[in-house]
Amino acid sequence: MLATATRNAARGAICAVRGDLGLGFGVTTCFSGTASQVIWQGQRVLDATEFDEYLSSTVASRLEDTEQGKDFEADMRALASTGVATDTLEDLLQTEPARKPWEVGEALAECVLEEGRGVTWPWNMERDKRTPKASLPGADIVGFLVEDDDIYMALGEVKTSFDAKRPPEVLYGRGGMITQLDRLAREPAIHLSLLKWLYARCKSTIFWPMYQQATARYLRSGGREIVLFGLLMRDMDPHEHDIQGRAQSLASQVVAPTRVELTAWHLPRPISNWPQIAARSA
Amino acid sequence: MLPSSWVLEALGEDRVAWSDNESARRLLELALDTPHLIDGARAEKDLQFVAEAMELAVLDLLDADNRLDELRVVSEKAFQLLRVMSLPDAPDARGDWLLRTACLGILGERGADVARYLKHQAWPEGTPTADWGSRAKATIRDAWLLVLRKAGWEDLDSAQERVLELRRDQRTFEEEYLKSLGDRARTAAWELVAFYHLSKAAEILAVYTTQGEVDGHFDILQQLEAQFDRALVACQRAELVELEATTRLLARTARQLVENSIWTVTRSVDSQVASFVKNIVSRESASPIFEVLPPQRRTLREGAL
Repeated sequence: MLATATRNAARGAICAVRGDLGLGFGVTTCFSGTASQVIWQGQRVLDATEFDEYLSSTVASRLEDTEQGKDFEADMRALASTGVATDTLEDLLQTEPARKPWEVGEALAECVLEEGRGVTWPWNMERDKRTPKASLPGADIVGFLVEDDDIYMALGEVKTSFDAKRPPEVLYGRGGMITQLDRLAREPAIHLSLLKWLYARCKSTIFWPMYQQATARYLRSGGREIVLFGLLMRDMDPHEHDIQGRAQSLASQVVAPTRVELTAWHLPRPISNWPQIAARSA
Repeated sequence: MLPSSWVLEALGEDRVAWSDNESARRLLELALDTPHLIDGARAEKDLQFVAEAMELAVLDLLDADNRLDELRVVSEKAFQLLRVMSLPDAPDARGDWLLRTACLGILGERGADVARYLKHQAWPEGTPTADWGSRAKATIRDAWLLVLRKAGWEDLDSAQERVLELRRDQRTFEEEYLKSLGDRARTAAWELVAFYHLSKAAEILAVYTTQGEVDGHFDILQQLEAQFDRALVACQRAELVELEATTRLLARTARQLVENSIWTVTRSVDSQVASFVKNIVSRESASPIFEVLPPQRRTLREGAL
């Protein structure tokens, strides 16, 4: 796996040769580790041109909005039938807010998990893509992990950070990634809420067999057999201090058969530029 | 014997049987006013897991018109669990709990027990200083709880007053609320869109329950469906997980309430019955009857009355 690993003392990381994770760009594994039910790794993308292309094609397609315009008019006509005033809501919802870097980071996380890790996201055709994905209770991303012949519910947290501290602030505290993953691991009420939400997205679609298999596995296990993903999106050089300590701390909390995979992605463009690069697709 | 449901099969007969026993034991304790005999924390957590899974099984049956008996049985089981569990302390969570429990009870054809449950449980108090989003949600939830309890005309009048109150206050508070939210404003705006459709649906149901028509129209199911469909679209636009599940449950519950309504049941029996129904529903009636019980509905369907 890390056959030609080299020590980069200045960065505190062990970087392997460029690998092929099935993504549209080359990836170097810089550090990795395992403790109990938690594994972690640091991935580095070196080629900025390849990264730009990925952002402006694969990632952009998850963010773009083609059909919203005509649907929006129908939404507002229907709202008028309720007897409430519609002007304020109409004004707000027809504006085109600028993309935030964290939104691009979240879409990027979904893409790399889908293409590199075999996670499937039931597509929500009704979603207003100009509305930030901030309302899922306790999880940023929800889907299914396909692993050999088995299917698991996959939940994830994504943090995008240019904080120079290692680990960055977004891994700490009540709203930090590790606390959120710990909570996700131990609160079946959140899992079942998300399963109810996934239900409508999977019923009568190609995702239905996956849904049934992942849900049945989850219920049989008494609410434990799920896979959690934590992705830290960075625009800094790799360093195992970004996640190793927090991963070990999380490992002392997570009980089998729940599993956690933490990945720090070290990317070649400043985070503040990601929305602009992703917008180049049109 | 478990109803045929892949969700309940995965949950396992042992867990379902345990939850049946646990809910029966707790109901007895409540009836005898005795303290919990068993340490509750672990059992409460396990019971919650089973209850939430039952709700998933209910969701799977909501749109299956050929499986109404299974929907009734699973909804009833979920209701029996939720009504003996501890309610959350936080007002918003408590209100949500009451609403879903009541909906499951209606779907389980336990309307009288739902009315008793809603009468004896403390409803969350309104908070005048809360933001518009929270106030709108609390107001609409109150309206729905009143429609579900319908303890006489008072509840149904109050439900309609809540909806009017919402429309009146919207002009004053909505814009400032949305401006204060920054990045979260779009999500909150879609949530309000869903709330307003749910408020209209509550109003339609309250009016139909008392008058047997809405503005001279009898297509109540279609009117309700239009409002719920748009509420669901708003939930899907902003991925409002909890509200979407509540909306699906409310939509099916509203349909059940229309089917239970004395107006609906007697309309197909005999037009001369109409004046009799108006009398027993009227404000002058000491105990107005808005609904027909399941056995009476069955008898009427079979033409025995």
